[in-house]
Amino acid sequence: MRLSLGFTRWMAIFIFSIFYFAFPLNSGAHSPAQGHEHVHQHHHQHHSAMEDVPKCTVCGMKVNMEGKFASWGKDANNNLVYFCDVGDMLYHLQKNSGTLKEVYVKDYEKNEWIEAKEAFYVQAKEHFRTPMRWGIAAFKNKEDAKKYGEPKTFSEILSTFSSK
Amino acid sequence: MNEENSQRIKKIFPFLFCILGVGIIATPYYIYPVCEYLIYQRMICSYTALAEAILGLLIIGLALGMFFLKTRKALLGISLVLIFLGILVILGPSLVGYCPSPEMPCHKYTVPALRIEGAVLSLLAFFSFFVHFRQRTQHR
Repeated sequence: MRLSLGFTRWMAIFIFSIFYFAFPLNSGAHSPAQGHEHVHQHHHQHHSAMEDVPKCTVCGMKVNMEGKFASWGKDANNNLVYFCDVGDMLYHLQKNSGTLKEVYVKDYEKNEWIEAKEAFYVQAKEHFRTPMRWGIAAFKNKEDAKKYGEPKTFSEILSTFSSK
Repeated sequence: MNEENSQRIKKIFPFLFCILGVGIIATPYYIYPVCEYLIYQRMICSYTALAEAILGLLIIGLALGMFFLKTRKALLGISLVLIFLGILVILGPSLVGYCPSPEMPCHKYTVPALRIEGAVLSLLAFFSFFVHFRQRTQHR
């Protein structure tokens, strides 16, 4: 009888734990906090259905294609790949060297797509609040880039880029 | 280690494993929440949190099993499985994935905390295995 009661008690605790952790109390707590200045809130207007929003190849985050830090490219099989952050694109290129045929980034000043290999990059976390906090922005013109910090070419930023 | 001490240590193991299991579940949701539970949206680290929670539940289940199963073989088996689960807890974030940016909360806090918990679990489970294994050889 004693064993049976003990067993029932422990099973109750176990089942309670499963339910408690399967439905975390703070699962909805992020919604009010998301209310300010987060780039991913402004979904692309052309993407009416949630499934249409591209996801970042590196982190799985929904990519805001209207944002200033988005990037996209084509892999060796001409499949489209998307990145929520210029840093994620550089990380992907470092980990999978030579797998992207062409890559595009947004010009921070004009918000236009430009070729990643021809762009200039500035890493300044104090200026750029990017989705993944890499703090890297791309510029078409070197002069525009100089306003925010030391501009680097594509090969320079790729060689100095570190996820450590 | 005399018999009385050994018995006392054996009784402590299930409690420690339970605490670690709860810790492994709570870490990515409450203690050091992954990005989704802060100001970010759902991404790959959310799935790591889920995987670690499942591992945590398994650890708690096995720890509860240690309370009721008293045969040496069962206790040795559970200890071995817990060593394996500890290694899985360490490798989980790398296997499932997490944010590469060092500024992200999952990269900065959650993953190191989980790896420490996994290492502690594996070491404790190894010690548990050793204690249960050693007892039999002493009786011989």
